[in-house]
Amino acid sequence: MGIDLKVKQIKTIKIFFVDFFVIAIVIYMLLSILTTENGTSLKVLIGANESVLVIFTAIILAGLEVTFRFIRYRQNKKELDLLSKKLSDIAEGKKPGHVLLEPNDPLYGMSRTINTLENKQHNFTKNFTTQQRGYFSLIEYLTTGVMVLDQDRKIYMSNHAMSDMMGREMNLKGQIYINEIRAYDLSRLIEDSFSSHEDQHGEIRIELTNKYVDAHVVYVPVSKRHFLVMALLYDITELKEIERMQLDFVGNVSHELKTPITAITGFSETLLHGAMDDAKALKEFLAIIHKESLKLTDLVEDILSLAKIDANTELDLKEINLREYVTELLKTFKPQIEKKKIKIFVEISEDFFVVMDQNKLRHVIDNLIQNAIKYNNFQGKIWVEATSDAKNWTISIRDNGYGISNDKQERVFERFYRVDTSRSRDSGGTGLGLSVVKEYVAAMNGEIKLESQVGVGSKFIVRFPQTMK
Amino acid sequence: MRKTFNDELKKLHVRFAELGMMVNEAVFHATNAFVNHDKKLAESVIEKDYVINGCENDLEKMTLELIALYQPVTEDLRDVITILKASSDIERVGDHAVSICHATINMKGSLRIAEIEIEIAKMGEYTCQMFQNVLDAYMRKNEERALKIAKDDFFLDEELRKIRKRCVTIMQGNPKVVISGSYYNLVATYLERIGDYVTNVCEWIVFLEKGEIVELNPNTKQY
Repeated sequence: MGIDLKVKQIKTIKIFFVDFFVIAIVIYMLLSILTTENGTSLKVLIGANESVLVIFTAIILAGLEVTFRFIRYRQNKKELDLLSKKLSDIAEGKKPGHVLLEPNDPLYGMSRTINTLENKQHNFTKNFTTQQRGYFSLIEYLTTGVMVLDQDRKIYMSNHAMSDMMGREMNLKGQIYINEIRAYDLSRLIEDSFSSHEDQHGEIRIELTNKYVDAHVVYVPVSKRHFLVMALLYDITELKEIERMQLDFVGNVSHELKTPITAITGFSETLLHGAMDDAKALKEFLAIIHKESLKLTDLVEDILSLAKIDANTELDLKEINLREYVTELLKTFKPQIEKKKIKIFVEISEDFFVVMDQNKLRHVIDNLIQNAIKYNNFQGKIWVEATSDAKNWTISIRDNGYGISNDKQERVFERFYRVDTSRSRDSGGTGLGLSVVKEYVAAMNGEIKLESQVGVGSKFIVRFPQTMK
Repeated sequence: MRKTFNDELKKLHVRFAELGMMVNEAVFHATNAFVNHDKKLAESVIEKDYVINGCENDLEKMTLELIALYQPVTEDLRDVITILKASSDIERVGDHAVSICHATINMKGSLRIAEIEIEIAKMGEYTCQMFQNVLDAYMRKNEERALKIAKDDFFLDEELRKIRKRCVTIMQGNPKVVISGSYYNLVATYLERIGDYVTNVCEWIVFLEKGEIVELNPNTKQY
């Protein structure tokens, strides 16, 4: 700073002296050249004091000139400072005000250019922010899982769907992806893409969330030495499920129809080919044919009732005493219960009243109890419990029977689904019971839940709102 | 030199993380297969085990190569050594998962004990969670969490003791369940052993951070 000031002083003094000499010489020359009308030069007129006068005037003029220069310099500097401050503000991303100068100012042109530049830059930033926002929200709300990795295997960006699919927070910018990801197959694809610099594609099952995804890993070259790797996951769990359900449905329904029909055809054929002359065989075979036709009737009825629930959603509401109602229902199961020596505990208080559609509720409880008996061990136990709170009331039917494994618990409500085909055949039933239950519960604005473990038992929990519409 | 070493170390890290993921999946599937009596799933875990073993071999080769070629020191050396040691622990966890699967397959069809099934399911879920946590703690080099996870192992010890006692009592009362009862004991022991290996990995996390070799949960094994 001190040196700076000194340099300035020396500069000023230098300028002053240069000015002084130039002015002195000019005055001296003028005095020599200029003459009055009668031919005497001005030099002579001034006389002896000539040199003192010249020096004095030169000093004053030089001083004036330096002062003037200084003022000009100060003014210019102020304007330049303003402009440079504005430029640095722009560089920093602030929004400074416009600098306005008079049209005859030498910096006027420059100030105008800077102002225009600022406008441009401002618009540009605004557009950029809008675009970026739009682009980020687009990615964030995309149902496809997106994760972008830089070449150091660090997460650059990841969206919500990605976290959903992986079952854990993935949007951790700057983290190495391998520390966050928990799916071996996916990490293998990504690593392959890193080493081969090529796109990868595969269908992957993610264990943590039990989802199937169609994974594309894309290699994106940015410049000669830089690249990005992008993982795009498309959730195909539902597609897979629907595909499987359709296949199963066709397989199951034809199987269910075919078994009784084959029996009926076979036995009637045998009868026609002469067996009907044997009185014993005749009776036995007819009984079988009858039994099988009853099975068919059951099946058709179940299918019809499924169709009916869809068509008829009106509720016929009545107040019922749940304990009496359930006890009444249980009477119809007496033969089955006695055959398997099953104990049933009805744990519902005497004054438990609910407003329900009796008929529809009967379908629900009937089916659930039937299952609890059917898929139970000899001398098994069944508990029927009911609870209520301010908004809902719940009835649950629990058994200590075979139980249903986790991955099948979702599926038991599908039409014609059977947990274990080999075991279920001889216990009868159509494979429609629980899907009928689900439809009825939904028709009454309720919910059904299942808790179960293989070898421990199952618990079906049905919840209804207190006030029915 | 430094850059190539870092690249190699990164590769090692990736492979190690992959081993963790695979074993994590194996444990998850093994416990699920046991709880759901799912023979197919159990078989798939057994089939995949050779990939895990291959991965461990890869890791050993890679670490030895790294040490021989780059002679790492201080933190780098700790990184490499930890991976060498922890990977063998994790691989053992994978072997236990396979043992559980063998038990699942062998005990199919025998008479079950419902209450023990519930306890084992609980224990399995807990073990899976613990294993996942320890992987997380390792990746984040979180020593505090490692110490906490090591404490969780007490629960598994306790659970094993409980299951053993209960199993023996039930078996004494009903000889029909001896087959399944002994398998329950076995599986519970495997799960508890997995917990011990998790504790070992915790020790390595502490080593990684502090450079101290510690013994977590000593003298707790008394059945």
